[in-house]
This record gives sequence, structure tokens and C-alpha cells, in this order.
Amino acid sequence: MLSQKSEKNSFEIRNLESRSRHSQNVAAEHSPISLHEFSSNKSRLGYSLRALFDIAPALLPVAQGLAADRSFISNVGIHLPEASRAMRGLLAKQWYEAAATHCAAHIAFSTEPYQRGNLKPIQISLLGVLEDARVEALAIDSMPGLRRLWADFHDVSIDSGHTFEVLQMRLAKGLLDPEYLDPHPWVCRGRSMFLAAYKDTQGSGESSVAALRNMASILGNDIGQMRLQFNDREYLVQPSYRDNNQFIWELKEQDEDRNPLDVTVRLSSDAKPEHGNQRKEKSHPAFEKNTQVVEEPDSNQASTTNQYQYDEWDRLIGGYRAAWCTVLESQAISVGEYQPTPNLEDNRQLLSQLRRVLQLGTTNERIRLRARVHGDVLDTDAALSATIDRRARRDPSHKIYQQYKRRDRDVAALLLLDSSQSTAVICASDGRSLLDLARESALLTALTLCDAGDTCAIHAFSSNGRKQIHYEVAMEFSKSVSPAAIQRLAGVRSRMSTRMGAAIRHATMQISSRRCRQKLLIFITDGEPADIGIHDRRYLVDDARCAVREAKRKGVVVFCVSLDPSADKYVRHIFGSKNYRVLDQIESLPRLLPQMILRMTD
Amino acid sequence: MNDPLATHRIKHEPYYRSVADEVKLFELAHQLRIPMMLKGPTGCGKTRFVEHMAWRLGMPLISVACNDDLTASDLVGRWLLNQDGTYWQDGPLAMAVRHGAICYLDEVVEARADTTVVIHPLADTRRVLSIDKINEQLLAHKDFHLVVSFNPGYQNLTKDMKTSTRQRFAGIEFGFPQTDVETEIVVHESGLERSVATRVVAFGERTRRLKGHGLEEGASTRMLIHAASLIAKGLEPYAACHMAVVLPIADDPDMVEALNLAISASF
Repeated sequence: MLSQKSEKNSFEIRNLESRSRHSQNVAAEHSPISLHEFSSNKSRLGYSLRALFDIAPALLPVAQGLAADRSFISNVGIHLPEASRAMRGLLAKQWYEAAATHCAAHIAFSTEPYQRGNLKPIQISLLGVLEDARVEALAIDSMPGLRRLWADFHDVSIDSGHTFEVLQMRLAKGLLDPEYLDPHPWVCRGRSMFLAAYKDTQGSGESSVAALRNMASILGNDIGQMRLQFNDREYLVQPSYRDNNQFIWELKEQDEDRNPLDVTVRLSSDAKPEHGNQRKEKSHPAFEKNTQVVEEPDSNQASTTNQYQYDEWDRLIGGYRAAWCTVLESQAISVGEYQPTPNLEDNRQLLSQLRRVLQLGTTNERIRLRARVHGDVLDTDAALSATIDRRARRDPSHKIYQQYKRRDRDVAALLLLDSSQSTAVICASDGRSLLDLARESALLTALTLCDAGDTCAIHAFSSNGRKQIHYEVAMEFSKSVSPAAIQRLAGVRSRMSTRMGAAIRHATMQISSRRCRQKLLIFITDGEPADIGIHDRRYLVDDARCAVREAKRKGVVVFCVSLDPSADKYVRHIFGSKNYRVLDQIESLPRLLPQMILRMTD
Repeated sequence: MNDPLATHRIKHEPYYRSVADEVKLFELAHQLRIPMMLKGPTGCGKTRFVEHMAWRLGMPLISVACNDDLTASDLVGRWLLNQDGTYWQDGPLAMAVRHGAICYLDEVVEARADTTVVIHPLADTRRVLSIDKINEQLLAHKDFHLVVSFNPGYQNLTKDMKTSTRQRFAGIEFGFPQTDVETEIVVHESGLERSVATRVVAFGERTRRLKGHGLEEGASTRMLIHAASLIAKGLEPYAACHMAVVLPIADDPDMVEALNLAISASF
């Protein structure tokens, strides 16, 4: 698990490695098990970071075999190696916890970037160690148990050697673990200087940045005096759970223009570009492929397009712009074959269990039937009047029991999918896109609701300016899901932008004409409303909010499932505090959505 | 003299730590007998607050935990039999209206829709309970005060209070108290030493960050008191929090493990 590359002067390190409790089976390094380690830890780590640090960075895997044996932080999120080398099972679990919490501590506390200036490699490396210690100390102040978690990975000891790398590890351990005794004068000096500075500055603020920088240059000079060598090119940050510390340095000038995408590419050329960053970027109009739009009507099944016009709320004029948006409704184009993923089958089994529990076709709402001939409990009022009748020598009624019956479900649900370009992003480990997951979830939900006796429809939309809001009907309102509907659903493509308001109004129009007790519009989206020519971010948000209110007045409950982890603020604004759910774990959407909908309508 | 509400009088002061001006607000509303709605998540102290206020105001308190089987006649009363024939038995609401008490309907949205018919004339200026079975228009006692609670975060779209009901009430919002106040409450209720209680509360706050992100609701003050009481009895903090907080609120294994990490990090 330690540096595989520094073979020259790292006898001591290798020696140490052989003693390390973590280094087990190097041959197992390439075993296929390792590939599952990241994904099996991801959702747990996501929850943990939100609980512990109140942050929700994207957690992304870094392919094996890169220089990225260490995790790193970019403005996209936290990148963790796909498998921590030579660690499996429980140990890997702890390693991931240590690595993710360490990175999170940086995100929370490394707010003042350091400037490299004329620092030498030794000093840069030392400053990294000191900054690591500072952020860990700050985290430990509020979460003392983290010390144990991290300290387990500091397996250096006073017998490990005296090279710079080892001394630096001893210092790192000394800064973290107050019970570790190390007589080396340099380590002692580092510890006492750090403690004094930490006490003065409370570990935060510009003064602490200056103090650590000063400390690193003094300690670095000491190392120079001791004539110890440092090969910074082959050095990997120790212990292995710590990130490569790129995050703490101010970007060089030539780096400043780089966009998040470049960071990923530069830092991990093999990392799949689909992860995370593009997700956040709303599809830019410039990316829209007009060719695709033109292509589709040409394909075999040209379907008729109906036009509808809707008003749009303009927040600046505080009124509606009449007949402002044009919705073009057509049937989604069917694809010949649609292979449901194995996942779909797994989830179906789970759902069929759920359905059995819920009892088909009924809700949990119970109706009390009074004055029955048979029943579980006496109907007190009926029993009393029967007794009174008997005493009054009248003929008493036999209907003195009460029964409970579950109320029949009567739900119409319209699943409305956002199929804008941004949903083309691959987000599942098996290469499925956001739209694929949304599609599968919608299908499962429709199957579940239809089995429960509800009427269901699946529609999708994307927009290309106010005059072209494409609204595709994959499945009409129906009590069963037909194979043709599934094929049409598979034909929905990711393209263009998200003009929510008009789509919600059109969907509301469709569902509000249904005759049933509950009308539910379930809106699945991956981001904020956006469209070409709209530069005011609030404009479409406010319009969507208006559309939701209009729906509510027409008796339609609109519920939004957002796949954008940072959606809380605007989704709440649009849909109201109760009517949305933000899903952090996108991959579990197909499992969660039908359950959620069933429970809501129960 | 025979006091029909003797069992509903609160003899000892229920502990309640005020977090803002809610005591004053309630006292004023009580003076004017404005029906009160207490909003807030489960386990944040709504029921305790009402008990405390009843004690403070020297009023008897009649509490009804509402459920979906609770009908209007369960609240109002019914005819019963004894050896001599039938007699009328007031329900909890009628008792409070007749003799003058605070009537607290806990989780009122859970009650069946027909209860609103009873509540509406009581909760406006009429202050009348109409008992059709004995043909009585019962004018509320001057001490009668209606208080309901409800949890707005409840995730069921079909259950909500009607606007016409809402508009009869004045509201006080409850949330989880500030860290130091919550620590004080936990220390008082559990007897745990303050330094450890601080950690329990910090852990509780961490779980609340996951609300809406995998958890329906974070740990309530009530749960934290449970955990702290177990620790005070000698249980390890990890085991206590796992048992009193993590397992009741989370089922998903990933979530359970994430919360477990939050416990180990907190102690």
C-alpha cells in the first residue's frame, strides 16, 4: 500500500511496509473484488459526510493503476481510489471512512489556500503534513472519535528509521496522537511548535495559515541541516488515507482558467469523464444538437404533433405573459427492442413483495362499517340501542357489530420525466445514464401502481426555447403497461433544456381531466429549470412555482423527485416544503421511487 | 366538593425548558382563549410544553392522542348502560368544555374528518359544542381552551389540515432546541454528566443533517434523552446511541453504518 515506485532510498519504508498490518496480499491487488470496494462504500460515505461535516461533495472513483494511489479533492468532489491497495473487507471500509473524513475535513477547514511562493519541496511536503494535522485537530475538537479512526493508520514507530520520509510520518503521528512518545528532537520541536501555534490561533484564520507556513520553513531548514534527502517526485503522502494535498494550494496562474472538466482529466486521465461534474453543469444551449432534433421526425414512425399554448409567469412584470409558450405534444418514438436490465428484474421481485404487504388495490385508510350482523368488535351505539329495545320489550336488531374495510385506491398518476441534455450523463457504475435510471424508475413505478389498480401515464419533456417545448407521450393513461409503451419509453432521448413551467401546465391539463380521488403528478428531474435565452435564474424557477400552484388549485398534487444533491433550495421554492424529495443515491432511484409513491398515496 | 376533573389536574411541575418566548405567547393566547396549534417534529417537546403550561396556569389538562379511528362521538361522548337504564357519558372533549379544562388533541390530522365538524364551532367565537345525541348546545366553560398539535413534516400528501380548520387557530412553532439548551434538557432528564451529554446532543444534531437525505427525521430530543439515560445507567455511549437512536430511525444498512460512524466520531 505504500509507494510502489520509490525503490531507491526507501529501504526503511519497505521494511515498514512489510510490518504494516495493512499490507496483506499484494497479489490480490488486481483481483476483481477490489473493483467493488468503492461502489459498496459510496452511499454510506455520502451519508457520513453529510452527518459529520454537513457537506455533500460528489464522491467519485479514481481508476486503479494511476498515479492516484491517493485520494484527491477537486472542485467536482472527493475522488477516492477505486480500491485501497491490498485492503479488503473491514479494513477497506475503515480506510474509506478515514480517507473520506480526512478529505471532508479539508473541505470544511482548509479555506485559506497556501501559496507555493519559493518554498522548497521539503517545505511543501511539511506544510502539507502540518495542514493535515490542523484540519484533523479542528475536526477532532468537535468529533473526538475521529482521532481513533485516523490514528489506526499511523503505523510508524520510533524504530521505523530516520529518513526524512519516516521522520515526517513520525511527526504526523505525533501531531495526531498525543499519547505517542517520540524522543527525536526534530519531531519534538515540530510538535511543540504546532501545539503553541494551534493554541494561539485556535487553529483557524489567516494567522494560522501564516504560522504553519513559517513553521514549515523552519522545520524544513532543520531537515536541510541534518543533510537528509527528499525525492519529491516519487513521494506519496503518508499515511495512505490522506489525500495528495493539491487542494490546499492556491492554483497557479495558468491553471486559473481551467474548468472543472480539465481538472478531472488532468488529475486522472483514466477517470471516466461522466462522473459528477457534467451533472452539475446544466446543458448549455450551445451544446444542443440540432441535428438530433431534425433527425427524429424523419425516423420511421412520424407521429402527429399537437400544439398547445400556455401562459408563462414573468416575475419582473409580476404577471402572466399570455400564450407565451408552445408545447408540441407527440408520441415518443418507439425503439424496436428494449432490454430491461437485470436490475429491473431484481427490483420487480422486491416490489412484488411490497405489493403483497400492501394488499393489492387498497389503501391503509380504513372505513368503519357500522351495525353489521358480523364483525370483530361490538358497535357500541348499535349494541346499546339493541339493549334498550330489549328492555323496552321491543324487537332488538341483530346488527350490533362493526367491521373495518380498507378503502379502495383511486389514484391517477402521471410520471413526467425531464429528458434534457443533462440527463445523458452516465451516473451508474454499469454505464447507465441518468435518463436510463429515471426511465427504469418510471417504468417500475408505473408497473407497481398499475398492479395496485391505479391509472398511470409516463410522459417526458425537453425544451428548446419558449416556442418548442417538446412533450413526448410514452405511455397514455392506462391501467396496464403495454409492451408498445415500454418501447416508446425506451425511445425517449436526452436533448435540449428544461423549461419546467410549461411542461407542468401541460401535464396538469392532461391529468386534471381524469375522474378519480387522487391525482398525482410525479416530476423527475436532475436540476434547475433552464432554457436558452433565459439568463435570470429565478425567472423559470418562479414560473415553475406558479405552475405548481395552478396545479394545486386544480386538485393535482405535484411531487418532485430531484436527482441534484444541491437542489434543496430551489426545489423547495418550486414545489413546497413537503412535496419533494432529493435523492443522493441516484442508483437506488428505481428501488426507492415506487415505494415512495405507494406510501404517499396510501 | 366533587371535582370531576380531579384526575386531570397536574400536581407536580413537569420539567420544561423554554427555548424562546413560547411560554409568554401561550399565556397570552390562553387569557384570550384563542385556540392554539403547536407545530413541530415528533419528540421536540410539544406535549411536555402543554403539560407544563397546564400546571403553570393551574388548569386541568385533558389529552387525546388522535388516530385514524377516532371519531367525533369518541370525543363528544355516548350513551352507556347501567343497572338503572341508560346514562350519558361525556367524552374527553365534552368534559373539558363542560367543566373548563385545556383539551389537547395530539396529532390532530390523524383524526377522522368528521371531528372537524365538532371542532369548528368550538374553535371560533361561538365556543359551542353541539351534542346532538342529547340535544344539547353546550356553551363552553370560561376556562375551556382548545390546543392541538401537528407535525407539518409528515410525509403523506393526503393528510393535511383543512384551511378552514387552520384559520381558527393561532400557532407556535417548535423545533429542536439550540445545542446548549438541548444539552441542558438532556442533562436534566437523564442525569448524565454534562460533558458526555454534550457529545450525545452533538451526535443528535449530526443525524438531523440527514433529514430528507435518507432519513425521514433525525434524532428527536426524546431519543437523545433515552440514549443519555442509558449511558447514565452505565451503558457504553456507542451501544446506547446505536440502540436508542440509530436502530429506531434507520433501516437501510448503509445509513445504519453511516450513523454508526457518526457515533464513533462523536465520542
